Amino acid sequence: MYQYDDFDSAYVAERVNTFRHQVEKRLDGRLTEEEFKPLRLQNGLYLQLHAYMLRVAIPYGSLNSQQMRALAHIAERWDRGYGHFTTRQNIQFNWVKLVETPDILKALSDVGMHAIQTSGNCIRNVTADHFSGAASDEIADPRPVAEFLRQWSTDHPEFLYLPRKFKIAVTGSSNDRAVTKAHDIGLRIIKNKSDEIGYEVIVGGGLGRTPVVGTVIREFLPQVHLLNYMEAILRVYNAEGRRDNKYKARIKILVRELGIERFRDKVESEFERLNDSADKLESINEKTERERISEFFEPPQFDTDTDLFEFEAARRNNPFFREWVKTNVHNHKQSEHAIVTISLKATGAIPGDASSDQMRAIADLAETYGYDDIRVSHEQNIILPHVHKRNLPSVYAELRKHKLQTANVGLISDIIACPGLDYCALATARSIPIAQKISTHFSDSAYAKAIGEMKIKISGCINSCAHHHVAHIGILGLEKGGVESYQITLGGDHRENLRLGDRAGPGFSADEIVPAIERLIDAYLGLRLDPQETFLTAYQRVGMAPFKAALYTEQGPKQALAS
Amino acid sequence: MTKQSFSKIITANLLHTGDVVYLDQESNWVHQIEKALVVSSEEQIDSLVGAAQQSEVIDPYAIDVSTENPEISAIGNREKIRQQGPSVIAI
Repeated sequence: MYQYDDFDSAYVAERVNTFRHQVEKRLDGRLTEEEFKPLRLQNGLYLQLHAYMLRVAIPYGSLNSQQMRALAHIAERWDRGYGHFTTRQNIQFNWVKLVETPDILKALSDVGMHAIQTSGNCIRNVTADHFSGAASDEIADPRPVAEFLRQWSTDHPEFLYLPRKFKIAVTGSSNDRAVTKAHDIGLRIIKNKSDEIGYEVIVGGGLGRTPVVGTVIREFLPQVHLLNYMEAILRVYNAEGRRDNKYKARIKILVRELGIERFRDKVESEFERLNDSADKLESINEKTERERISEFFEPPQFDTDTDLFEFEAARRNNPFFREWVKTNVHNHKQSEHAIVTISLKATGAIPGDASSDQMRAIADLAETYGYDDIRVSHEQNIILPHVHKRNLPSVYAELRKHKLQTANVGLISDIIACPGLDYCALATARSIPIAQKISTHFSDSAYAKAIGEMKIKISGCINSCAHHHVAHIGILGLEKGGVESYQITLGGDHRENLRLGDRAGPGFSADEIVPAIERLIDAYLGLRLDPQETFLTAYQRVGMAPFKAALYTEQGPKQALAS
Repeated sequence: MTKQSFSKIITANLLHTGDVVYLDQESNWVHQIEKALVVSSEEQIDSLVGAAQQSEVIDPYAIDVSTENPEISAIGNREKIRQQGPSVIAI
């Protein structure tokens, strides 16, 4: 993984010192809150309902064991012993104190981490496929590109005050695990007919209150032009994006208002001008820099031992291990290895939360069995991308000791949920208790496996941090007349052919939501052609009608809340 | 018991820690909502919120409360959760 050079270290250290002085000035009254607020937000420090919340950037969800241990230490020393991994592959600490934040940032900088640009109208943490560098379906590792973009976008003087926040995601596989079509810019690494690697560039996607599926603006962009093209898109957006209305300020609105053709013309024109001007990001240097960065992402020296006796024996003899392998272990590009997904979705647990002890256990596993590589997925789980199959029984045994062995990845209890009204100042309803209720209700693993692949995503407000628009079953929490009301959407798909879910109808109360999900599942089990037909595929085949009938049956809620 | 026609209190978060606090009758910021000063007019709210901007709290604002218990309690999910803490138990 990328290691800070002297420049990076000095920059981050200086930012910590600067923020320490800013905090001192705020505490002794030399700065007002109005003056201080943008400064703390630039360092990832929000004020939530009960306390300050620090959002720490985990670049493209990638970290090593030392960094994970630092997060565990921060949680223990300055928070309440746990952290919350988010859908943007970051971690949030919910209970930090302002006076202690500079010390936390110092602890982060000591291990090459920071909280810069995790808030504000700037280019946020670049996200990427959590299986990058390991996936068997990968064309090229997206992490060097993501790191390249991270360095370009960090403290970029032109793009620190954009009309609104800006999110970039990168995938290197045809199977899109990075939800690229729901980002301001999505990059897909592809090959052209000449077998050259480049990017399909997608623009103007996003969820939130106005969900939009991103549109392809460039079918094939050669690698060498990446920064100039990104620069061109950002310049057009920066100049023409709306600043009069924050709800219409994202690039998706600009693209929609101009139309993709006009927007593309403007970008191409700026791109051409950039290529011909002194502002050009020199292609030769760009190539050299990209190659320098790529060297940090060379694959580890994989253990080529082909003896898988222990693995096969454990799989044969231990049914729990066998089930865990089925759900939580995925194919690796090296056949002797596997990708392990550690579920942070134990029955009734808070999705994405991990204790300090659990973080340390994961760090130990990564160090001992995983080439010191850890990922955070946007689905709020943790990935060990490279584990030799021989070591899977040992990994599983350690995970059991720390209650991290839940075999439910991709199943109904593998729920994405935002912090919701239990923590978030923007939320309109709680999402965590709904996730806990559903998880507990469907805790029978045989039943969950019979249901098969299922993506439930629960957002506590219209901002859609939990990506409910692209869930198989999406749940949006709102407040109606002082009461929490939950709208259901069906048929969303977060993958390469991103599809927004269809709203089913009036919302349900918190008490009605689990029975409503149960009726949806019963309907699905009753109409699917065979056990291989997933909920999503069945929905695509039969449409909303039978599911709507099940949701609003007379046996269901007598009074569904008004929408 | 008759409900008061105008029941509002001032709340904020402590600057140092972010803790949820309420303004009491002696202009102190306290953690217990029961000790909060019930304000009687919009003018008083404006005055108190304005003064609070200069103090050790951030984002002061007025909230509706119930005084029927007869103790003061928050109204609405958001303020109830702010008062009582998250409804879920972390790890």
